[in-house]
Amino acid sequence: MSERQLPGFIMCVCTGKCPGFQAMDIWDFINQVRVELPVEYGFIHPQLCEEDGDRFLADFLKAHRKLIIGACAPNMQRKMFKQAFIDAGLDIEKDAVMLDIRDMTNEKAIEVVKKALSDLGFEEA
Amino acid sequence: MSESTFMGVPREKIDWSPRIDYEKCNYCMECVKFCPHDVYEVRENEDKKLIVKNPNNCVVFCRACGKTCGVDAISFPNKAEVTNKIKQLRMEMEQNG
Repeated sequence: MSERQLPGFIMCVCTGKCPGFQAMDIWDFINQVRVELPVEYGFIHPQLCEEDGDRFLADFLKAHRKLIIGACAPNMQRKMFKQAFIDAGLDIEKDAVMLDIRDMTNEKAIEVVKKALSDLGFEEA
Repeated sequence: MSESTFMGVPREKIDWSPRIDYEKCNYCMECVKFCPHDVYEVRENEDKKLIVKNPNNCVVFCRACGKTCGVDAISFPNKAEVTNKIKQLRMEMEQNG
């Protein structure tokens, strides 16, 4: 996978009814990520860990683009998405950055995403 | 963000929460560590050291805590049946104005 290719960003909001995202305006957050930060795109998926999420990842991961996933606990993400990455010929440890952005304000969550991008070598313009 | 409804139906009318199989549960508490919604309550001094205290705090169709369970002691209602029930309740609400 090319390191120079910008990563994609998926925010998963656990059906949109999870109180873990109450402190955040998820629409302001995703718009700030996709417009201001060095990502190829950013979008919200309602529930990646359900069956339709598995089907989505099966299609989506064919692009073999590095992903940042903003969602719940990384250990859970690892458990829930690992197989989808393997099936796509990827390694979740190398090809994804898993962030827990629950119980954060927009400002805090943006900082967390910025740091992940910086760690990958991508700085805000 | 509204917490009171799910797919147009009041949350309290939807039967969705974890069920603990006490024959299997080893009280590792991984589910409690994962869930930030106070669905579970730990009761150290009782036989059942873990209970589902607030079932309606559970995010409908979330099964993540069950996926943390190494001994597969957590189950959830049948999703298809719950989905049908939600549709039925929504239709009834629409008919009742």
